[in-house]
Amino acid sequence: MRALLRRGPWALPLVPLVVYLVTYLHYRLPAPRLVPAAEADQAIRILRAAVDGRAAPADATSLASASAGPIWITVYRAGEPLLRHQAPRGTLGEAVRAAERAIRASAPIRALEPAARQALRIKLDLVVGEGPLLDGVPLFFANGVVPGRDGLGLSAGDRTAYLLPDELVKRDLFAGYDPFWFMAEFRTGLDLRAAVDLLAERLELTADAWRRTSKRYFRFRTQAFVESLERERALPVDRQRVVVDGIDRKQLREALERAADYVLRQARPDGSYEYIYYPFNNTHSTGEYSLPRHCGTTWFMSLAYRVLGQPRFREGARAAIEYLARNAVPPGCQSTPYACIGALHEGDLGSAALGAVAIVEYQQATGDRRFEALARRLGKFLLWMQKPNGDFCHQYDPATAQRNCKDILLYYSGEAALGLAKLWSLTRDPVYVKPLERALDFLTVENYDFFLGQFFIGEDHWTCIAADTAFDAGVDKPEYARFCYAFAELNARAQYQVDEGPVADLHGAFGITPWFMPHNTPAGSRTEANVATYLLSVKRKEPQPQVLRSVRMSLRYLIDQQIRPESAYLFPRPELAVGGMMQTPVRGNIRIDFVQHAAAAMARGLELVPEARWRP
Amino acid sequence: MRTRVCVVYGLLDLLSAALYLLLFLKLVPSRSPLFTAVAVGLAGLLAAGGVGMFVRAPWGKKVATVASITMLIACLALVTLLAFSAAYLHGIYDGIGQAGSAIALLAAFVAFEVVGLLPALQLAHLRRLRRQRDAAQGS
Repeated sequence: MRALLRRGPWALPLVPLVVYLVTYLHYRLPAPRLVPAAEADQAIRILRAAVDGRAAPADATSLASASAGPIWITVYRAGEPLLRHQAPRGTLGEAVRAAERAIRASAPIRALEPAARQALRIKLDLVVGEGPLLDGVPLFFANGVVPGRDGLGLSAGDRTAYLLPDELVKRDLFAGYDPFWFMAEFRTGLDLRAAVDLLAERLELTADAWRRTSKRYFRFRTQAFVESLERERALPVDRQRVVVDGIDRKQLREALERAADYVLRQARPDGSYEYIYYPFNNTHSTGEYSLPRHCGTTWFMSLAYRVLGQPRFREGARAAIEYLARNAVPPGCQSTPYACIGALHEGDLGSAALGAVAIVEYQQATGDRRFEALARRLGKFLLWMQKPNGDFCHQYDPATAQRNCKDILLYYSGEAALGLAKLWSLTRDPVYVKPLERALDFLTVENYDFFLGQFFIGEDHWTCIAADTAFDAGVDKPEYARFCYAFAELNARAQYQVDEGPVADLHGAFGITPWFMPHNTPAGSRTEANVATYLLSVKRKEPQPQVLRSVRMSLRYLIDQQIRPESAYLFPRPELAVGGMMQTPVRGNIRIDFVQHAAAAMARGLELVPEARWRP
Repeated sequence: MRTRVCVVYGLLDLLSAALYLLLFLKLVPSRSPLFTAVAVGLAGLLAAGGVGMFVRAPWGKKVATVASITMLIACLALVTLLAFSAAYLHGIYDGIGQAGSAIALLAAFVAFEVVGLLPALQLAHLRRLRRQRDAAQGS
């Protein structure tokens, strides 16, 4: 006994290992048994016949796949369930037969005209696994539901209520829990209050009964299919999207056009854009407007015209530049040799730089020279804002003509370098060459000349786009290319791969760990940079195949994330949402720059995607 | 020499106790009063152990020994909780990725270094003192 007591403490380090193993085995979901695609196709055809009021094309008896829990068959109209049939655990055939009867008996469906019935979308959700949740610790509870894939269930007494993954996403319940009261901007996991309220409402328990009843929360995983647009097949759905498993140039071109049309739909009569669109409830934000993002989006419009050649995009770009010229040049910058963009007391470098970029791209694509004088004056502003070390002052007060060189803002110096490079490409004026070289010297060398700077690179996508553009001006140094290769390599380390397990469906995105959903804007901006880096490497006769692979992977991801007609079953106005790019796979807001970065990457990367199907 | 080492340990104990209080009361306060109470209790015990290292009386070393053992148990509990958290996320998300694994391992090592290393070394020192004392009494 004494020997055990003496030696026992040495076994204590095993305690965490045992705890790890037991906990992991308790909370994991076993590998699911999936329904074959052919069975899902058959189910959809039978249900479609019921919606259309036709005789069933086949008997559902042959649909023998069994679910691990309920099966939901939902008929969506304008993003809302017109009918939802919940079948208990059983075979797909039993569920389809019961749903078929419910659809044929449904008065709201029978009341619809044939065209309206045709517009309905049918969706299947089959539970393939169920697992416990640690609901006693809010942080664990909130992060216990995999975003977009898991639903949340609650058993209280003899009743059980479910919130499907679609419902959690549509109600914007992810990134809704703030674990630290002193850090309100940090939000992760499920909005527990809202989710529990919804479940309680579904259980229809009185407050007293709610308190008295023992409750068990659980998560469940579904296998989902949505009816195809031609109403013939069942398309597999993962995280509310019809899966894109490979890409080709035609598909990318279509995605690019959808994005450009989306941006065009956001254009307001005065040439500005609707800043944020919420596709799940078809509303727009009325908050502050960002001129740098207006300029960036206008650049993309010009790019879209250049690549696609559709006159409507040229007109969109022209109207947006006219908005800048008419409304965004403050009085203090109107009669000066230089021009700035901003308000009475606020001019900023980023707006001027991206404004110049947008105008240059527009003129290069259209040959229309009406804005060239403004671009040249913006160029003078950029030159004047440059500091002796090559960096730039980021803010300016037009009313007092004072530069603010103290406050540093993200992206602006890289944008200014790109502005100078683009201005050179339009004007061939040597006045831009030396300042451009000094800017790139600063951005790629001096800016990271400190200890930690050897380990990371910040948001320098504009720098690499500028480095590629600068090459044509004869501004080329090995340091620029090395910097951009290192940036691409750093990004590649954060890029999800096809064999990435829980985030394999998001391959091509850039993220850290599976429990933080990747943001779509960095996927766009880093791809823009990687496209530029690859093009630069080709120009330098040292092509980087791993960068090309990374570009194609992230372009697949961007197409996958784009709101496409076949995936738009949750939106009240799919025709308005299509082409949009949400903030993350599960956050339903679309700011204009989310689309701008993703679609600019598509436009610039189009030639890098083969005509034939490419899969990573 | 022996006294100087004890003073160093005593100072480190007091400093650690002050840092824990700063951390849990000011910088990262918990919503849970229980967690705060446990953290304050541990900090108090550690401070008492620090005082115990200064005094020459035998009870001082006993208090320091109890404080060190308690801190080691707290360290084990902390690492176990970290393992539980990582395993929970692993189970839920069916993997935690390279970054997740690195963060979990790093957190466990940092937890040991921050919470466990000082009491472990201090305990070893106290044991050596006891042996030296026993040897001196025996001779």
